[in-house]
Amino acid sequence: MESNSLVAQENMGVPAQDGQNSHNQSMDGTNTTAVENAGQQQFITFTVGDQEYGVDIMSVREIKGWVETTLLPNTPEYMRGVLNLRGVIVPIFDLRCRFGLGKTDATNLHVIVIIAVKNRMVGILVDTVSDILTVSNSDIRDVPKMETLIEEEYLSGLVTIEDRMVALLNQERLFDTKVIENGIAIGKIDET
Amino acid sequence: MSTNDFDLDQFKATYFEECAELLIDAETRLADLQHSPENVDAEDLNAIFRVVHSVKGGAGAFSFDQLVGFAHIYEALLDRMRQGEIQITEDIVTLLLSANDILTNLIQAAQNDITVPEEDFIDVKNKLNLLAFDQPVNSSTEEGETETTISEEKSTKKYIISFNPKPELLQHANEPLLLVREMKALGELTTIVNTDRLPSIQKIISDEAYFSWVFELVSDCSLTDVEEVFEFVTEDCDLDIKIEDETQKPEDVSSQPTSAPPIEDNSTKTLETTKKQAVEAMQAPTIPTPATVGKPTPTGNSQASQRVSSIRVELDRVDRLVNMVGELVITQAMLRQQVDNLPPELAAFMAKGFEDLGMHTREIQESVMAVRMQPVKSVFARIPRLVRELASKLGKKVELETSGEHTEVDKTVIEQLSDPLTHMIRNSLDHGIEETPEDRKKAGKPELATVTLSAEHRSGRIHIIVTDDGRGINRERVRAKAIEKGIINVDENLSDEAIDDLIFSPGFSTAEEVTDVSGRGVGMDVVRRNISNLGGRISVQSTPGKGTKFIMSLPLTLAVLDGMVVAIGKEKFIISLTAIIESLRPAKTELHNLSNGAEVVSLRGEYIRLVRLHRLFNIPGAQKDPSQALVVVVEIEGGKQVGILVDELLGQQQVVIKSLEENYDPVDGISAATILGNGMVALILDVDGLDAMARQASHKQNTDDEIDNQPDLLTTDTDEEKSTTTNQLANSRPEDQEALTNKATEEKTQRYEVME
Repeated sequence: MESNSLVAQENMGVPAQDGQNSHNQSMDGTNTTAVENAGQQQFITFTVGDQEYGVDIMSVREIKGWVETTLLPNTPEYMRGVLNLRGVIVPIFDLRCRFGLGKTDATNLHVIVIIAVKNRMVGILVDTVSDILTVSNSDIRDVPKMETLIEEEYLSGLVTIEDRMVALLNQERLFDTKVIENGIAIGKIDET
Repeated sequence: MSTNDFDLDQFKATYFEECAELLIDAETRLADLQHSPENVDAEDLNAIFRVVHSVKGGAGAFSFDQLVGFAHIYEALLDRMRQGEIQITEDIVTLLLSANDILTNLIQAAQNDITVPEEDFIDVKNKLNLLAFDQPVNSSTEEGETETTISEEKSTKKYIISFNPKPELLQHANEPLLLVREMKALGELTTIVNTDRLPSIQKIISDEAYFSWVFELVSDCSLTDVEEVFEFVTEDCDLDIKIEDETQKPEDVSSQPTSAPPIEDNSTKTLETTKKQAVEAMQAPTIPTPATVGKPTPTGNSQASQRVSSIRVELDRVDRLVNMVGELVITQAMLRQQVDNLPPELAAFMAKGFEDLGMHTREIQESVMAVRMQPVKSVFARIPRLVRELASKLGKKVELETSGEHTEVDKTVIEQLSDPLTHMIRNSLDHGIEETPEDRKKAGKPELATVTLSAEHRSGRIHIIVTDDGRGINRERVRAKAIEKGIINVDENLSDEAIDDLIFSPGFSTAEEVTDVSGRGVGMDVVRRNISNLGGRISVQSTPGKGTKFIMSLPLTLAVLDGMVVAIGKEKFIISLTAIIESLRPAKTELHNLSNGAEVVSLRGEYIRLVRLHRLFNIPGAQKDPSQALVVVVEIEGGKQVGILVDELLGQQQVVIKSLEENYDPVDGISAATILGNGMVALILDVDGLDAMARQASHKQNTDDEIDNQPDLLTTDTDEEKSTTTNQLANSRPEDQEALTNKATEEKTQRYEVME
């Protein structure tokens, strides 16, 4: 598992260069390999619009710049097609679109975070990768009841860092097959 | 030695893996025995014995007591058989087969950490017990490594054994004392030790063997028994066994002629001949030659005689290798494309290198693929037994002929082959062959029916053919049944081939009553579906009264595919080359719209349904006018043809098949993905799925008043006359089997729903 986080760190340089929320210095200061201190977790955070999200660092496999994908027919709008990751076909999801904020107009400044969800690999399309956070479990707040179902269900918690709020993704739910089907259903309801 | 749980689990895994392999071997050999019980190859018996012995040994190490107990009895019986004490009859072989089954079950049980209820196998166990221990020939069997029969009537011989261990003997965890004890168990033993090599105490290395021995063993056991004592140390010692016969009368130890030849006959000959003949007869590895120089082989025991240079590799690793070679091919193709953009003088310089590189990569690819190839033998080996059991159950006399069992095919294909093949054989025996031998006689055929199973390579695919010389397909009955089941309409006029093909329709089974053998609710349609899931096809040829022939055609591998790259709009797709029949650009006059919304192309008098891929997949910018685009005619399930509308053909290419489902869900109309030379993913079309989608779509158009909000669909020219019912349509279609295919489509659609 150590090597995974090393990969993540190596690749950080690329996406972080244009981050307006540049916190690179904290990245250097954090020892990514010596994590699992009791009660602490590490997250990689990235931005979509002006919202910041985080995923568990141990699930991150790779971070890469946006490349052209191959579209899959008859899939939901946030499913941005598949790409070839060293011989493995990986589906890419548009996080902005997933949260109903419209499709991302992807440029090569956009970033794909490849994460492992259960035994699958998926990529999520985000604007920038910004930081690595070390958070103690007690600092993670529950997500308050919200009107939109997606936000409530697919976030595992909220963290406040200085004056920023980072929403932690529950990637297992976010990209769960059944949940995706529900997502399609929700999407259809929205259309009508 | 660390023996924590993790390590033990690893060993266990290896053990079970080995067991699986061993059991397949045993099964194959048992099948041989069964084939000719009167003419038994001693090596087969020995090999089966070794299998059971190894299973027992391993089971003992992991304390699978139930398994050990059973294997012990089984082994004891086999031992007596190979000594020739028990005549091999058909009954015994049948017993051995069931014993093998039980052994398999027990191993599985051990693997799953459960216990098999004793009553499940007590019958066989008792029979084995009876044969192994309670034969009139008085015998006693000792627990442990040597089961030896001692009986007074047998000749007593004097063996002079000179045993000269190499220094490594002890280092290889062998203990001479145990050998001595084992020999002592065989008979009267005199031991002379030679301590010449013993150095002074300061120079002694504790794990080196210094002593050598000369034993005199007076015993009635056979040479093999003696050799067996040293079975595990032959690599580590110089061994010499001489026989001095003590009795005048060279009585035969193995009174039955089936097993080892009478060793006593050789007793007067030279030692060399004795050994050679014994070895030849037994094919046992106990050759008492000075151990080979160098390191002992890892399996320095019973396998030595058939030292095959092979290694066991996890499939996972091979897959990884295949994967990386696939990548290499892609990278190479990509580089090659870029070379074309270089200035000519540089390109020429590079061209030669790339030619070589191309050749090498192709060779690597082929070699890697070859690693995964296995002979179909492992699947075929189970069939003789199946035929035998079925034949006796059904009261038919059937002989099975197999050929081409060495034909190689990818391991993944082999794994998937077993079920459909079993089903086909069942079908042939149950339905193909006449009810009774008398019926056959009346038909002027020999009583013994023949079922032939053969495999062969043909044009890059493997053909597996099951032929019987039975009564053939009863077309009248098939037709009546199909009408009854609503698969076809009463007034449909079908060709003979089309009727034969009906047996593959879902929900079709002509057996009047559900038999134990076939007709368990899964029909030949399942066989066809399984095979088409593998990218294969199955067809049937039948001559009434003469017999039936099933031909399965399968790809050699599921890892690569010859594909045609087609373009639609900006997208590229791959169509399997084996499915493509032709491609054409139809004239406007050849295009027709049917009242149900389907479009057809007339092609040499046939009407082929058009599948508009751009509409199914919502691809913008595609050529919508078929007379400006191309129609790729493909064969789908059931030998029918549909035309897929594409913009253009980009060329033929061998592609490495990548699973889409590994990280995402199945997508309708897509069977898999691959990576093109430019590193982009391209999707491989599932033509059967597309056909189903197209039918579904046109069905939807007919029944739904509300049309999907896809602009593409709204502007179609085929959505008039939506109110026509499908039933009427079926009659108005030009194609014979429309109703049948409709049914098939429904079935397929259901399948997709399940998959989602």
